[in-house]
Amino acid sequence: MAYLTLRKLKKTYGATVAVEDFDLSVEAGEFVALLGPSGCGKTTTLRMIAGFVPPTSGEIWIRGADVTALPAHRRNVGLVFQNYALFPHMTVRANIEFGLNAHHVDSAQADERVRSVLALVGLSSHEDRFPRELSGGQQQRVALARVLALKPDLLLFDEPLSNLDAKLRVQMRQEIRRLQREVGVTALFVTHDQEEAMTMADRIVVLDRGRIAQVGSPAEIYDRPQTRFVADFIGISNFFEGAPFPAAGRSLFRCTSGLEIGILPENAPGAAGVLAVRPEKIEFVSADAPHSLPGIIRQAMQLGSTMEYLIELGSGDRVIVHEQKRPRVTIRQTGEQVRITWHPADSVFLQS
Amino acid sequence: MPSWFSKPHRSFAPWALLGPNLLLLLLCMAGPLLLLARISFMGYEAGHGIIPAWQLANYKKFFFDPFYRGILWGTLLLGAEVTALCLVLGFPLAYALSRARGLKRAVLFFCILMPLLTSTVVRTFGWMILLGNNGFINHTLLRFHLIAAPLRLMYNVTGVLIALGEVLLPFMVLSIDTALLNINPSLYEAARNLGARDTRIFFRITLPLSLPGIVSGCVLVFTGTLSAFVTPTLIAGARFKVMSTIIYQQAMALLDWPFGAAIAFTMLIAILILFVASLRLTERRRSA
Amino acid sequence: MRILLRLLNAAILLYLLAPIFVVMATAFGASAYPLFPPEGLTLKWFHQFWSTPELRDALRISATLSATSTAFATIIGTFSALALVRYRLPGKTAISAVLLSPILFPAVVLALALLIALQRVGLTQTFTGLVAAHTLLITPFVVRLVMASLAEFDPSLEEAAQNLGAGWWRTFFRITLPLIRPGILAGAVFAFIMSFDELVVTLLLAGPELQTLPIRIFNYVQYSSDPTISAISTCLIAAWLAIGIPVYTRFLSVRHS
Repeated sequence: MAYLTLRKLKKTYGATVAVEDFDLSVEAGEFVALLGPSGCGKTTTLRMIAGFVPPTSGEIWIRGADVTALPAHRRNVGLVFQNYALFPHMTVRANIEFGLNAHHVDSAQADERVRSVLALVGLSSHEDRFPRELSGGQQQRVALARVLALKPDLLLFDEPLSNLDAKLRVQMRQEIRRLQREVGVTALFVTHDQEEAMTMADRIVVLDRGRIAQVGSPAEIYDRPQTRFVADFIGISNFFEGAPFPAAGRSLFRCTSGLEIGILPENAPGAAGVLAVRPEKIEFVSADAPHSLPGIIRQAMQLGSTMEYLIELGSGDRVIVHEQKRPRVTIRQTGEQVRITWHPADSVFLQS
Repeated sequence: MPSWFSKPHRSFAPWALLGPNLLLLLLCMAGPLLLLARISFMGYEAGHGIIPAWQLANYKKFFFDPFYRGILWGTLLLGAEVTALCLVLGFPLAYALSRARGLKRAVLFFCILMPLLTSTVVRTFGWMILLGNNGFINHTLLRFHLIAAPLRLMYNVTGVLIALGEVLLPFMVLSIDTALLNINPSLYEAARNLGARDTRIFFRITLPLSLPGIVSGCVLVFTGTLSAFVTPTLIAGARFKVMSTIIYQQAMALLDWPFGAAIAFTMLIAILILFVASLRLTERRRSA
Repeated sequence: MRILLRLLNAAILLYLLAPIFVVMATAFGASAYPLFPPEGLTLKWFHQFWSTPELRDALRISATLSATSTAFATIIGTFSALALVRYRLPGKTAISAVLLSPILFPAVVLALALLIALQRVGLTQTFTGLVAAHTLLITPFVVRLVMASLAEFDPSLEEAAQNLGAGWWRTFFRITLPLIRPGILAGAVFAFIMSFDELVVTLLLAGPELQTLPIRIFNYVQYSSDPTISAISTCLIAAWLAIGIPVYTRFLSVRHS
């Protein structure tokens, strides 16, 4: 049995469904991100695991024990809050000791644990400070140290980086991942920031309106999205709506706009659906390349290391293309006539 | 707020927490007020005491006897005068207070709060020292030959107006200050950006948006005047009576509780109507 | 225009503070009646206050009455505030309006109602009756100030405590209570002052054995003119400033941080 198992978890508020059909297994030591737009149920799920929200139905199992009915203070699940929730009237040390006292850890051992977690997060010299005397990043570390001191069975993060400025946020991603590996604790990380989920997680659970849309590694989620929602929410995708139809021994994709695309993934079934292509998978080719699509550049935008082109195809479809700036590659101008294509394996067919 | 406090099996907890307070209100306020209402319909006869009955005699006496009707109108007029005085004096002060920042605001706030922390008896006593025939005001005016004979400031309605205006002014200032602080400062900048001058900004932005505070301040001051007892008693004595002093007199000296209760109940209803009306007024403006 | 406004406000402030200033000044004057501006400088009126037995008794009665009422009001009011801010309750606005209503009713009306009611149960002219009346009158202040401090209290702190393994009691006594203590203290101090200064209700219910300090002052002012009253008033003003301002500023600073 997995380390953490959620079975058919469901939460409704009156007629509103917050979370439904939530099944998930997490292995020991895994770092899993719950990713989705606001209101998708990710925080509700986290709060159900922490014990703050009683599920309407379903079960929560941690290390082979059913904790669904256990009150929050008996769960030994550490939660790092979005605003850290450090006790403002207590020093860093007292904040960490609070949980140890609640767990009746004897004072010698408690002392040792405080010292070791403070060393772990690099705040040994700050133990007598009050939370308001610490920077945002330091407060974040104290919040983490406070739960790590209790050697929790499971670590939960509720968008812990959203209150930090951009540079620090990137730094703390690595820091949190390092600490989690060092301690070897299993972690669940709620975020609405896809980049955060991509860079930190072993696995990502994408949520859409209370249901799991897809579970997979960051690469799987990005390269092999299973629904249009995932392809749209993670990164940028070009979508072509239509249906494949057999023609002259090989299949074509005929869009509703009338555009015909000859570049199809091998697994494309016969039914109607959506063809999704990432902008960076599209390349510019010369006029004689087979199956290429002609168009005009309508807009050229600087994205730093990349150029973004908006291309209008003859059918009226608009396609976004990303091209790395490299030596000897000239930047294209608005109004330029171009032809584009992509490798069949780089497009994904999604049932609509 | 899905906190552990609001778990379903704890839903009896808020009522348990509210219990003592609700019991207190029931026993010491709701019950007594009901008794007061009941007793206001009873009769009274000197020598016999209270006569249990259901009758409207007390109310008839209060509303139709010229003496008591005079007191009713006198009290209402005083309320209007004190309210006008407090509004005129309170608005500029509240405006300055709402504009002040840091230490200046702290000092101003302290000056307005200090009277509130000082008992009405003490402040009225201060006014007695100032307003008397040989008091500071008359003394000063006489010395500089601004008047020939002392002004009569005590034992009449003028003195009550001056003293009550001071006693109730902080309520007006704090109400208006709250309303002024609630105005989004970018509204002023927006108005200025649209080309409005200071006077236009004041009459088109500041004044209309502080109206809820003005209304609640006026209600507080008006009801404060209606229920004022200490200041009229000490400043005016027997010369100028208001509803409160009559109630006190009926209750303590004449022991005609039913009549006192009728006046008290009338006052209560009047004040409740005022409060509800003002709430309606401010709420409609807010939703508009 | 701006200078005019400043002058006007200075005059209004003078009007607002004049009586308090006058009372304090006359407490130090040597003349036998309160005279402003005072002539001479003396502390004899303060001495007079301490050495008059009936005034000392009144002070003792007032202090006991206010302390007792404040204790009840603080507990009752804090409970109510917790219930109103922390729980989902049907008709919350209506309940809080009812809880705050004793401030809204005219004191004379409540006084007469209480007089009639307490008469029925034989509690007029008793300490118990006065404590009940005062508790009723001052509890709203506690409710209001504790509600204000609870409203700014971050509920995730309680969740954090529970997440760290603390049960109801530990969470309440180690987290909730310490953090709303400034609000409770401010409420208690304000309630105490309001109770100590209460005159109208006390006047109707007290009787000859329970003459509080405000009643004594009221009677003195009504029938005689004596700078001793100025001295007592000065002591009260100083006391309220001494305990009121620190609590008030601390409460404000906690609310703003």
